[in-house]
Amino acid sequence: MNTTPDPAPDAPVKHLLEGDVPASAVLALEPEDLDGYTIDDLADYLEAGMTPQDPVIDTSPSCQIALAALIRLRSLTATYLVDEAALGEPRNDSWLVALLQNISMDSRTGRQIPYRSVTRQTELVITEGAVRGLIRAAGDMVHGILVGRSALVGDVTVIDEPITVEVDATVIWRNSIPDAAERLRDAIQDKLARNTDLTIRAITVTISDVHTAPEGNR
Amino acid sequence: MATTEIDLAATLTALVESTPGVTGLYLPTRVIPGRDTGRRVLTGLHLPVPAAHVVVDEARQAVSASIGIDMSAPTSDIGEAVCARIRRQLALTGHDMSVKVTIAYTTG
Repeated sequence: MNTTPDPAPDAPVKHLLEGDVPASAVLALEPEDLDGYTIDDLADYLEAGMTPQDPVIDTSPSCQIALAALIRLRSLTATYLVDEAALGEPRNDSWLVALLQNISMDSRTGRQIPYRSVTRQTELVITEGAVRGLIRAAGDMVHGILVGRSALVGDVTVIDEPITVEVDATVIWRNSIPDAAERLRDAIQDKLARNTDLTIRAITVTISDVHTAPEGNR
Repeated sequence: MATTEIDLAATLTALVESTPGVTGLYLPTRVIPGRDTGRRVLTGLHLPVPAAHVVVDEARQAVSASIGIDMSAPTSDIGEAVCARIRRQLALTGHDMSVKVTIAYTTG
């Protein structure tokens, strides 16, 4: 593990996408979930500035969902990693590995979720993967918490069928867990109400990890 | 696809791509070369990469479109606008087809 932080401004980003996160952890995921690519491939593509262009990645919804999540994740985590790097302490990156794994799983297209249609012979649907992207985006708006796995439990393919949203999240140190969970629940509720016709029976937030600061910064 | 299907698909694709809120399949990232090769910046490229995939199936009398959208408006509003544009064009050209629009991903 790297214990000597690079002073370059984008070092935390490089660390996140190239460094201490073991590739084996993310390569264990199924490539068919990302149209033949792995999260590592997409991270490399992103890091290379998406050049040369790969038309398969550029036109794959699953890859686009994963890339968007990677960009949001590295933007959000860069702040936390810079804080830690300034202390020069060894880090535990298991929480980042878990988040990267979940990005890949969340990017799967999944089921098709219908909207109410008022027009004859017209059907509008949104993929489950896109909805999980909405959930992750809602979480990204909440300070002090990072969304990990999310799941839509119930038959989302049937209009008016009540479903439950289950979310695992990591809380960043110094934030109240109940408050963070409540704000996350509200953000998800609002995002899904605005953008889907899902009937949400409950949103269950499980704080599966607390990302703590190294000793001396508490 | 037959020629008419291809032509119709191309017309519908252009209509869908130009619908406000339908996003391009690009991400605002590029490498800025220079002596400090380790530095990378995020910037908007605004490349006109195809944003939608429209398929016309005359035999089944069906049109299906897969789109990515931004969050400039509620997803259903953007999706319904896409549906309306397709339906309007089909009506203008005398086609009676079912329409299915799939929001494949969201950005922003």
